[in-house]
Amino acid sequence: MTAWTAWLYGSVAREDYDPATSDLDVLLISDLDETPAILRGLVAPLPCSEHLSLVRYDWDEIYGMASYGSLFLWHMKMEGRPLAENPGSLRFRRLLDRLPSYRGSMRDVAGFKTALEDSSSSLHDGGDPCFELGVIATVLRHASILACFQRGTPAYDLKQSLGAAFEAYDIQPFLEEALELYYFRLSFARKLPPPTLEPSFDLAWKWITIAVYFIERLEMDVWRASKDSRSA
Amino acid sequence: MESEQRLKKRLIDLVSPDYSPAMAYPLRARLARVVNESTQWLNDGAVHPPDIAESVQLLRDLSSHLMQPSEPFDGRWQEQWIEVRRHATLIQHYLMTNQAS
Repeated sequence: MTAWTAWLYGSVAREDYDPATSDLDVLLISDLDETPAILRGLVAPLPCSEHLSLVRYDWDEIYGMASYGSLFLWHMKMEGRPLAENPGSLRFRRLLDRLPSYRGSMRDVAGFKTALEDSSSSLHDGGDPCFELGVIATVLRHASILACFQRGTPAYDLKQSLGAAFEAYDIQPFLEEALELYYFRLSFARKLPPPTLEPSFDLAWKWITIAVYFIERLEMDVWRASKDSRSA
Repeated sequence: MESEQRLKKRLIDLVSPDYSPAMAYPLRARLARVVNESTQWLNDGAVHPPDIAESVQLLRDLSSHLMQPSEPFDGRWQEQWIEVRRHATLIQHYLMTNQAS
């Protein structure tokens, strides 16, 4: 039988979930098309199981990600835990034990910049500010994880990673609003009631400006780290 | 800009760039943007053929697959991006050749 494994990660794995907003994050690695029947039983009793966020990869994809030290796999290494011990979980654990340093930072920064340029362009032609605030929040979320990783203090939790990155880049006064902004994304995805912040073009432009500044600082960090590693 | 004009522009932004690992991240957001604007456009009261609504639904499904917190996978993208482009192009063609009734 092909080895499969399912790992819990994110706020439920860290035991700091919010029942109102948290997803139940599960990684399933399997070469089979069907979800193993046992998985439903493993997930059902867990908190937030009504908001299951199942990420599926096959083993080739996982080995491909491991080859460049995927940040997602570093995340799994840091806080993931198997829902069941089986041959697949041992295989994945061995892969995590040999995970190399991440090599995609430059590409990520380029992607963040393009995503913000797209948001800016969308706002210019009358796009949906609520949607764009969700995009900006997502970029800030992903960029803050990379920023923490670059600074040698990896953090994946929303508040922890955004908090550390905003402090490092001297934009701490905007932290509370940034956290609230992230709920635009959640409310958009899940049709939850909108956050207290009113989505507007002005708010979206303000956050484009902050996010662009954030990415510029991150780019400098990435550039410095790359220079240091070349000269080492 | 009118909603239909905006959607045309979003579709061009989605289908025009060549796939590259660096574009995987922004393309996910572009796909989600197309799904968002297509849904608004479909709900604007005009009548559209069922296969166009089906293409929007398929893009939505593909978007939830590609939007997962993942990295750019050559294999997955090559396979699913062909589908994304196919359905996006169908909507694009409809917008170019038909006036919503």
